[in-house]
Amino acid sequence: MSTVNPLDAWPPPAIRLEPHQLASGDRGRIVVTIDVPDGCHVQSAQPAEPFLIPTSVELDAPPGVTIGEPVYPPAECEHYEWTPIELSIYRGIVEVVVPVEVATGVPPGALTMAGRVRYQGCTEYTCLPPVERPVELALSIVSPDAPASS
Amino acid sequence: MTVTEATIEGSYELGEVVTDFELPATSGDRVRLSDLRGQPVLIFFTTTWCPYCSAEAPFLEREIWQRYRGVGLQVLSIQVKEDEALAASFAQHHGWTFPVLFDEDGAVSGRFAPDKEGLPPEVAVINAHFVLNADGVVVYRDFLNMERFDARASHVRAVVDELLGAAS
Repeated sequence: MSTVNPLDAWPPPAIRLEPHQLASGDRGRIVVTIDVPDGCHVQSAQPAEPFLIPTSVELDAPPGVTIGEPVYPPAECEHYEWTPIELSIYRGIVEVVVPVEVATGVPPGALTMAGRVRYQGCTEYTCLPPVERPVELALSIVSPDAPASS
Repeated sequence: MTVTEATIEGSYELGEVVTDFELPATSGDRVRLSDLRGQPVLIFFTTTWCPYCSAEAPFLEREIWQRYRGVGLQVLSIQVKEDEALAASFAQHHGWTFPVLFDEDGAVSGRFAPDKEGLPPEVAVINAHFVLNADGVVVYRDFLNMERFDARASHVRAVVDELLGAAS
């Protein structure tokens, strides 16, 4: 039996740091983007039913870096004839923002932050099994006196 | 009376005898289909993460199982490639009192799966219903159609009514 999940054909989640680089003592934000194809949706971070799979982002902070709780976008409420419950979903571009802070004294250099994005999606025609997709961010720590990058 | 998916290929056809299978249940028992010969059986395929399965869950207990168990219908839920503890919790949450079976590798479920939109069998079979007569012959089948989803399982109920000659 095939184990291929059609969700694997969706664009992989993207991850970026804002601003582009941080120095020790700096705060920034990490933005994880899920690109939900047209006509499809995923359950939101707070699904309407107990057993539905919430969209979630988990990041592993490297030493000297602190990350905050992910901030998920507002969900859409979708009503279907077949259920009295309004489903809570995301469509289109879904951006999850994770606050990040670099501790003072962290030397300049490159760090890697790994993480996981989990979601359960549906096409126009069917529901698909949940997936967990890896993300990885190259975190560039610069000297505090380095010129700010865009 | 029934809504069948005549154009869908794969799976068991109407009039076909379902091949015997045996699966573990939440009760700790193992359930063998052939042990149920002599009574009609509703088999439906579900997962915990499927919104359609959640929507239908209370009706399967209340409108099918509680209504027809006393007149000879057997109901089997097959959890497709689902975590056992989670599936048991799902069944408890929805108050299911009929047998809940685990198809850990999806092999049994795959036999019931239609060729549907290029989906893997373990996905295509989710929310499918099969009614077997007392001889194990498929007399009704349906597959999830989001445009005319039958959350109250009314089509299944109509088939069972006819099969058992039972008023509700």
